[in-house]
Amino acid sequence: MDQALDDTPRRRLSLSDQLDCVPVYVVWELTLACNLKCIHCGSRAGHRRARELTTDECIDVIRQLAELGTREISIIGGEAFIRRDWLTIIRAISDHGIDCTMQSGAYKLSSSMLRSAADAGLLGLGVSIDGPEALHDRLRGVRGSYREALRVLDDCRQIGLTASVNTQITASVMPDLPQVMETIIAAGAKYWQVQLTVAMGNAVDHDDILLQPYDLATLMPLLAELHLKGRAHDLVLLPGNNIGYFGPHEVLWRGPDRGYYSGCPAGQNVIGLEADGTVKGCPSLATDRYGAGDVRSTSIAELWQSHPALQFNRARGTDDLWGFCRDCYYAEACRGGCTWTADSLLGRRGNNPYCHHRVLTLAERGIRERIVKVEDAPALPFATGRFALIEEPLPREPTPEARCT
Amino acid sequence: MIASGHAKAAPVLVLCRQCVRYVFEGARTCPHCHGDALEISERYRDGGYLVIETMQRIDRLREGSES
Repeated sequence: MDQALDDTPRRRLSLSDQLDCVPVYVVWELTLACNLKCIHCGSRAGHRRARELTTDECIDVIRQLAELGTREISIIGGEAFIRRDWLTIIRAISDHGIDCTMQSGAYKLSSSMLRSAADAGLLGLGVSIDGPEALHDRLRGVRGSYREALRVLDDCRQIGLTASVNTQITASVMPDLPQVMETIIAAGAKYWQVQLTVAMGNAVDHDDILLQPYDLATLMPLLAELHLKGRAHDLVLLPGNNIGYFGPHEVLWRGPDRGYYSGCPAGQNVIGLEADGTVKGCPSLATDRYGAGDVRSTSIAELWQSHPALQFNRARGTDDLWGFCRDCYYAEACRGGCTWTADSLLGRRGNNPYCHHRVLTLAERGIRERIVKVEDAPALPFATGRFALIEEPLPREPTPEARCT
Repeated sequence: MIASGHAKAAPVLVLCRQCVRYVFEGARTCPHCHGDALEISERYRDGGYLVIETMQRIDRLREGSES
């Protein structure tokens, strides 16, 4: 069979989850404090926020989410374990019957800390690896961070904690992805989630690391090849929300047994929480455009039910679509793909040039798209700049004669 | 659990049984390969997609009757 074995997480959405807008999956920035200095960090993490939630407030958030039907909370940062009460929070999540996972740079996450987290109820750890050692350390801004990440993956294996790896796909890492995968297989990780680096925060400052949309013509066949190779080694390559959409390889990672891409789930089945209690439809969305208020002044249920900043995906309309996406065959299903990617890049959701189907369709017309930065992002968390989308003729492949000369 | 809200369901997509790319349910001609999207090809059957499609139809019917 072409299809992989089932690895259904509890966050898999049912039809009733979609219809009833159950916030099945919550990504929670516990603190903005971080011990890495990633040059692609969208939230510009480093220092903690001015008014981060107290332990009691965090526990009340968990209670509210449990009442809303949340099934998985993934704690992130900054670096979540920098908070002194991170184990208390993990235990509270687990005690409320919610799966708790954590995404981490893993720098200075000791073996004993990891064991304590597992004892508190942590079910899985996602560790970031963004390239081979030199590239990873450059992107993460701290020498030694790569070796720490690998050490933590090894600790997970010894403890018996499910480990996954998250990789930001930058222009720099693309040729090294096969090597990264070999490292991940050797480290014993079970899942590899890949995601395109998005034009937000520090990544706007370092826009040379961003892929060009036309790079997807090279990237997607490579990911397909790696996906098949990974299966043979019990590694499941999972696409992030901004890997897509509906190209010829889509069936590999979003095959019929896994559920096809049905549009961005932000605000419909996903909640993002900032450390100061700001509620968004996705943790990565720009706060100024998508912040829906905070948990100190309003209950999550009330915000979830009524705030416009959380409602925009629920009616599944196509009025927000523009550019290529507006007239796309998949418009009603895809609705422009990842809101975060499109909105951060072009200042408005609904037109996403990072799409394989789009790249191939334009190539048939002899066209490709590239992005050019026209405005920097302010020095704030989740700040966006502004990029222009340029359409240009597709460069011609050199003829065999030209290659010889 | 308390009620959260209400949304529309995503449209149903199925695989073209020729080129194994997604098409809207009911599509006869595939916009990608221009073949008959309903005609079962060897690739579709031998790749295990036909079995999965059948199981999915059953799941959808069951979910529909429960909701």
